[in-house]
Amino acid sequence: MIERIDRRSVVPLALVASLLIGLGDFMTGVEVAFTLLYIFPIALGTWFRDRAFGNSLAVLSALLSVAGELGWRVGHGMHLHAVSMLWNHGGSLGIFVLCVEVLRRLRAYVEGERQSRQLAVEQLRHAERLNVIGKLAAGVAHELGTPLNVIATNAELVDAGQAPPELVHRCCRLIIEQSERMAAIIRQLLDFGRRGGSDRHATDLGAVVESTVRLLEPLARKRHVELELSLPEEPILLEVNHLELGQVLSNLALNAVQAMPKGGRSLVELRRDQERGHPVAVLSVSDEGTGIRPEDVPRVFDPFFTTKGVGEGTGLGLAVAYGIVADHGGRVSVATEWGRGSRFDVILPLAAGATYKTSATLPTV
Amino acid sequence: MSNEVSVERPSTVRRQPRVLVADDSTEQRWTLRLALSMMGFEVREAADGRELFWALEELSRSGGSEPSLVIADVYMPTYDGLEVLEAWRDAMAGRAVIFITAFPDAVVSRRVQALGADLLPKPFTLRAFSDCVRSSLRRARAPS
Repeated sequence: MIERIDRRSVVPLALVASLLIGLGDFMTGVEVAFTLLYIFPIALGTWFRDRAFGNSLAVLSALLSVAGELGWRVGHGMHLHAVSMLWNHGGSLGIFVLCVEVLRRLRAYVEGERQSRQLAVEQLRHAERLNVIGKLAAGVAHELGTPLNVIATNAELVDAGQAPPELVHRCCRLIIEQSERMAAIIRQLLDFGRRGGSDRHATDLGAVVESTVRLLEPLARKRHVELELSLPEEPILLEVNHLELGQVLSNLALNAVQAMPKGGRSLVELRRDQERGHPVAVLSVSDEGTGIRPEDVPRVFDPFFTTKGVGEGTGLGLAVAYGIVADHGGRVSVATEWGRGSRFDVILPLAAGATYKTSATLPTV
Repeated sequence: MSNEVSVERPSTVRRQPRVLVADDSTEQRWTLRLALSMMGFEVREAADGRELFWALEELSRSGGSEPSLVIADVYMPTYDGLEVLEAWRDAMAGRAVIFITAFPDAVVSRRVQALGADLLPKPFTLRAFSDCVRSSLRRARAPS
């Protein structure tokens, strides 16, 4: 019973109490006694019982109010002071309780709206999470299903002695190749799922960026893409796993290169910046390529999401990059314009302990 | 019954029944071709949705009864297997169609069912594959 009295009940209670005190100045002791006699059962009933009970009390109060008006006139005319006083105060109290009830219902309505909105948001998040898991499952099934199928069928053909002798060797080669392909996919998945525990040292970010860009240059040149590098004058030192960070950059830069099938220019820039008053290192990779369709933007970090052709991308590159950056307490953001190009920013906090709050597993952009 | 030529082991007198296999994985096509030729089929391949589309276009123009079986991967570049076979639905009357996919979700199953085709989820065993081929052909030949 007690837990039913919450903050919402206190407001009408205070309202009625203050009105009572105010009225007390103009009322005789008898009138106050009458008022209390009325107000307590009605007010207590409204607070402690449910909405239906409150509603019926409100209707009763409204009737009392009307009756009070009439009663006052009749009582006044007949000089029946006690009766008129009774009706009169009954009516005013009825209006109070009516106001209180209206207030209560308004608050209940607002609260209900807020709760249903919150519920909708939670359901959406849940659906989004399920969606990511579903996509991951579909991706794994699709990527591993075909090689596994090739392995199983070829092994069976050889085992049953059905494969022509001259093709047995080819069957076995296929089994080996497809096993290697599956192993590579599993390795990528593990990269994607790996969280923490990596080997980190104070590293000059600029050196990592530079060496990675040098590694990628031949490939970029082959595709007529010019990789431009911009490094800060002062080295930025941060505790990172340089191999992982190199992987982040190469995944972003490879995307940039692949986004420009006709060639172009891609800028890789490392700089210091401030974000919400904290020093951060920002690694930007921008291209003048095809850009990302607006409807695809929320999905770019989803595992196995790819807009590239079959065999060009597994759809894990950005998901892996996101995972590694989140491990380092940072985040990846994307700015893109369809037909104009994209820019991916890796933002790493420089001050110790200043980590971004990231979702436990996957981004919900 | 004894005089009838079974599809699995056709005699040398009758021409081998033909199968059209559409899959974007070269290894998968090679393996299916091997398995099907072991079962006595002559195999024609399509490497993606577009090739499958033109193969079926040619088929509908020639009006022949071969290939009696089309095996298509659901997810392929250009067009997916389902799209193409839905487009050539009329040309498929009396022929068996088997879809193979690694991820048979509800939508795919429904569309396959609507086409009256069979769905074979990957990975499958050789036995499951040959059973599916036989039952699919039997059903296609039976008057509906």
